[in-house]
Amino acid sequence: MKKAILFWIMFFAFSLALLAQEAKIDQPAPDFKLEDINGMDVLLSDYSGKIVVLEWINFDCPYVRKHYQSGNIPKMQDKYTKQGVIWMAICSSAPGKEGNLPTGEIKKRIKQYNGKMTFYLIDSDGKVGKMYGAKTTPHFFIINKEGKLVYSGAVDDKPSTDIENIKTARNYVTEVLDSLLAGKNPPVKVTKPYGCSVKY
Amino acid sequence: MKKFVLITYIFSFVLFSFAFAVEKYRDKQISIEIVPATKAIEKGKENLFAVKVKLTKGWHIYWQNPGDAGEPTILEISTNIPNQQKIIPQYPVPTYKNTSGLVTLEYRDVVYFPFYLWIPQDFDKKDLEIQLKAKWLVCKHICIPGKAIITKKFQISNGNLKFLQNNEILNSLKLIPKDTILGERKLSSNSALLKFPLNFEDRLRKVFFYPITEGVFDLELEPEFSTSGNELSMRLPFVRYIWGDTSNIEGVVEFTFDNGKKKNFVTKFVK
Repeated sequence: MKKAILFWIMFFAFSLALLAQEAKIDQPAPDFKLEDINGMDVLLSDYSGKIVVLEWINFDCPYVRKHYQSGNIPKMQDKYTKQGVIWMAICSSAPGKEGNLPTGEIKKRIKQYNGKMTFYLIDSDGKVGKMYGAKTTPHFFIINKEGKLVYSGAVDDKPSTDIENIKTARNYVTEVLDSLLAGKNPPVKVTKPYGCSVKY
Repeated sequence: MKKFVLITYIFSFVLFSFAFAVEKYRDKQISIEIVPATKAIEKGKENLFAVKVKLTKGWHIYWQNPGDAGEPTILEISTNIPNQQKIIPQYPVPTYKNTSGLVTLEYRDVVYFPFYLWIPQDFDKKDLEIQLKAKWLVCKHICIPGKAIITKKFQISNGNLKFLQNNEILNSLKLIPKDTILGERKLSSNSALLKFPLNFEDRLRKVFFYPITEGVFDLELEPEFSTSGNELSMRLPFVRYIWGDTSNIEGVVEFTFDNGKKKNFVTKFVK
């Protein structure tokens, strides 16, 4: 009986600690569990020891469309997942709001854009989005192999919907991932995220 | 069919979001034009104009610091006045909006961005030509970026035109911070303490700070303020991920007094 009480106390304390967690740069990335579009539970901590990209997504946002229609983000997903990076696209759009699409429509869009993310995760109550402080779509967070959050910000330095700008943009996500894969410190930690607001 | 839909979409997107050198820009969400404050445009004096932006109900654009999301509205004026540099119109104090923890600083309905033009006495053109380059992001349940070049000619008065005032523009000047206060700042790990001189007779009820400097302050939390003698101190918490320049803090401070009156100032802070 005592053991059971102790178990439940520890369980609630652990749950509260998780709830209170807030992602911060250079700190351990808080764990979360979300369901992907195939109905599979995905736990961040299952990928410890790997570089993880969290990409906040809303396929109806023109800024997201810019990077998917141009193939910019799908190419990055393809390149880095082939090098062992785990790429989690997370949609925090609340039910009835822009970007909260039926699973079939999400799969259709991923196919249309040739998306190569490892998972497309559903966060319709916005808990994980708020835990990480995701403000815009897209908004990127990168976790290193040690499980620390090392980057928060934009995909690049051209806050526009103009596809032409991609050619001349400084791609922060690529820079951070290349340096992490080379065992170096990322050249940037925080940049201004740009895009549509996350539709919490 | 898919190609047709895509082409139609791209065509309408381009059509609605970009217009070249029109007198007035208008689409389903927004209309933009240059309006004079007076009917008579006169040489040898400063003339007041404004960029008038009218938004369809429910839609909004953003202040120079949009807040947690969105993009700033960018307005740039040029004219055919010789040696006239480009002018940035003045931005009225925005509306603070908190949507599920995401704070935006925005404009709705009708907003005037005033600007003054001094026309020299020896200006020899028949018309004053004003060109506006505008770029915006208009949002409701979705966001639509847009840009336009608007050119409008105004006849220079020969003295026969009636001097009529546009009261809406004149009223909009009340929302423009006129004076600048220089203050001091002290930074800690999680907040900035801003101090500036205060010289009001009325009793303060509330102070609000709209940072022009982006990416430094957490807009969701209201600033704590206190007064001591002729000095006001305001503590502003930092945003979780700082990407802005903490060494160059600028903003608009809005004082609300017990009698309901408001005053706005531009504030700049140094070490």
